Amino acid sequence: MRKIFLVFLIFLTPLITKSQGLIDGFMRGAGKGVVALSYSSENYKNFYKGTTLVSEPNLGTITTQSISLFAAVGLLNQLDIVASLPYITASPSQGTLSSQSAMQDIAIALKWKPIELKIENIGTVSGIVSAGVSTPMSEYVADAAVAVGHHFSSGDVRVLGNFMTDFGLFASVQAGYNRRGDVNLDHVTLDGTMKTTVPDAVDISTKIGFGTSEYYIDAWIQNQTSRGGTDIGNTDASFPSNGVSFSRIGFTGYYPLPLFDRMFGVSISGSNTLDGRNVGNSTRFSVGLVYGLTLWK
Amino acid sequence: MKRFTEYIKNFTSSWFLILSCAISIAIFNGCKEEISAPNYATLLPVSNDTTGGTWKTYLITSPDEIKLPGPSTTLSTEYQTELIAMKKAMSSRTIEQLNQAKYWASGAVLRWNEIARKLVAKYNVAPSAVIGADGKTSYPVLNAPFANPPIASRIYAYLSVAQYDALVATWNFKYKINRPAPNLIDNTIIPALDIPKLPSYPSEHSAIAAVSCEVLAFFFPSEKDYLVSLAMQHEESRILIGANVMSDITAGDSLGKLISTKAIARAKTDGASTAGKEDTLYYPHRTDGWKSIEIPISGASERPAMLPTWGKVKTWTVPDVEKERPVPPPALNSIEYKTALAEVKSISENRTREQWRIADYWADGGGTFTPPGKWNYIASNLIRKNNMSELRTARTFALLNMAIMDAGICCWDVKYYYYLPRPSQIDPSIKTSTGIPNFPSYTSGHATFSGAGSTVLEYIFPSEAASLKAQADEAALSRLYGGIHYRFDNETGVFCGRNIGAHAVILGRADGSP
Repeated sequence: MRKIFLVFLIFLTPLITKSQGLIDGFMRGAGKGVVALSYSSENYKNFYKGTTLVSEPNLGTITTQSISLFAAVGLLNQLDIVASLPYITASPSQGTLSSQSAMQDIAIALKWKPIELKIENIGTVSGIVSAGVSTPMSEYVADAAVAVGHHFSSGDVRVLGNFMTDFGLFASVQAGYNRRGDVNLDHVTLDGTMKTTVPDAVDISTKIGFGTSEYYIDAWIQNQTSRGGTDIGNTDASFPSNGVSFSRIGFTGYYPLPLFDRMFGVSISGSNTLDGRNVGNSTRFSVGLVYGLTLWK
Repeated sequence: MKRFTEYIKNFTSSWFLILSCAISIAIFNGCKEEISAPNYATLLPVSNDTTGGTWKTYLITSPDEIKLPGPSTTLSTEYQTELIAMKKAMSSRTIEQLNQAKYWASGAVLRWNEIARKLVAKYNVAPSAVIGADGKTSYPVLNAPFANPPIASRIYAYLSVAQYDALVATWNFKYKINRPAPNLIDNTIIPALDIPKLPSYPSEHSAIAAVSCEVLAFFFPSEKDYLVSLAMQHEESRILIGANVMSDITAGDSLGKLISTKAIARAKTDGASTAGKEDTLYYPHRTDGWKSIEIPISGASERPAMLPTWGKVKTWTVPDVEKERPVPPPALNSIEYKTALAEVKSISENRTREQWRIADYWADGGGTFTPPGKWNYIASNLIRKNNMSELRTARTFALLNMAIMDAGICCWDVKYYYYLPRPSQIDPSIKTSTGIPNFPSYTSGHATFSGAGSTVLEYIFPSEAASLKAQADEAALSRLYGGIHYRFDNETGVFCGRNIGAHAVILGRADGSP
């Protein structure tokens, strides 16, 4: 089997389950690591208020730009640690509401591959489990129409099944559960507290792609479903308490740069929202510089 | 594309169901619980305010205006039958009914104030714009009332004043008739909860339930069924815990309903229904200056000014609204104005997290209980801390909310008299942390409400005066931090608010309460 050396970049947006973007079907290998710096731009003019698609002339188009640092290191052949940290700016194109910029949430996950079945002359089936946490890295504003995030800590578990043929075609399915902690608000709610709960979320995604030791391309579809939650515009509903659900479709590609022994590469990715609840009907584009390294042998 | 989306949704949703249940049960042990109303201990007031029946009322001239049937004596067959019925009801009381009784027993006036705040929040939604066939934009109120701050202040005021008058009348009858509580007549009766040591006829709880239900149903007609079911539950709870027999309850209920008719009669003639019209300007000489910059949907014309003639609504405590008008704001071409605008701009560009926090803490915008509701919330905490009787609680809310409603009336008069543009209208580069309210800038409504509210509460809770004053000043300043007001809007607003609050304090000092 050819070894896939990769990588893909982070589908980190302020509002989605973070670990989904962190976990893929490939292990780094002991002592191998990857560091990536990426720039993403996401924008939407229409958003789902509850499940109704609306626009808001007093906001116009909301653009969220982020610079993210991503790192993954193989601790053992079957155990990786992955982490990401984005700096995000969100701004509306119209109206008077202020833009916001902040270091958002750090996400760290451990990823373990307990199952690997080689099928002679066909390919490999593997099973991966991961557990991760995320927590805010600055005191950014949690409850605003234009926000960089909702300022909650979360715990995430997921399982992933991957099938890869010997010639590099692969398909994977993953499912995760994201448990979310309460958010401290700046204001008093009707219950007399200054807190709100954030609904947990379940997500599932599937991906197909092709990878060699150098090139990589995939296409994916993801659905996150919030477990309950309020809708935008409900009585006393803070933004963090909203149930955020969506279906998105996207792609990722990687191309190694013919420099420095091909240790650097460029990744691009894009995604589009198909449907949702309390979320922007957004389009996203990312480009990243990826550096692969060997830390120990 | 749409069909594809549907397909994906259907395909994935069955998976989610299985996965979400399995994973959540296995790992997180079930789902989170729903939020409910806060629990408080049963109210045991520091004083029963035995002279309360003589305190000065606002809707009725004296409690003698109210006629109640002379109650039967506790020795009568009638009373004894009621006592048996009460004991029977107690013996079949469910846990749920006991919990409901605990909810009401922790402070009935406080609970109805909480309910009013929740209704205000529910109805504090600006009407959506509709573009007609003729291309004109209208804003039909489909879910009346649109409980914006002045409208909310009026609801809180009528509710609180009616509760207060009902309780003064209740206290008057209680100490005139002096019917002992059931457990003092039959010592086999052990009330399920502590009950205040008050004569039991009429029941203060049923008076509060009836008057609150009727007044709130007048303002929120679509909530009538909900309110009636709450009031019934509230009244029954006192029988179920052994605090009152049926005639105590029915007498309180009739009394509450009688007072509510007085409140509603005043509300119908206070000018609010006509003053609320959004299409006319009370001050036609002010057609320049302020402009609406809120466009709710693409292609719509700007949302019209909120309540331009609210300054004409009948006040409770202020004898002459025009006398509360402050000096004019600085002229738009003056150095003073330009300096003030530059300060808003500077904050908008360098807003700190702490300034953002303060702006957000006091914003109380759409979907919330409004700034008048915030001062009711602040008062509620102090009332609980001080274990006030139901009557004194109602007096506190009545004085507070009369002052706050008057503050809104006076402030709206000032706003449309001077018609000063918002900072962002003059300099569109000024960015705000919160939405810009759709009415002129000078003076700040938040500041005026807060100056009035804190002045009343400082009088009632003198040991909290420093903290209350600081809160009012912070509430005022929060609007500068939000980028939607000049400093002078806030400082003048809180100054005017304090003067307005002083009128209510004069009434409070003269109402005969110790």
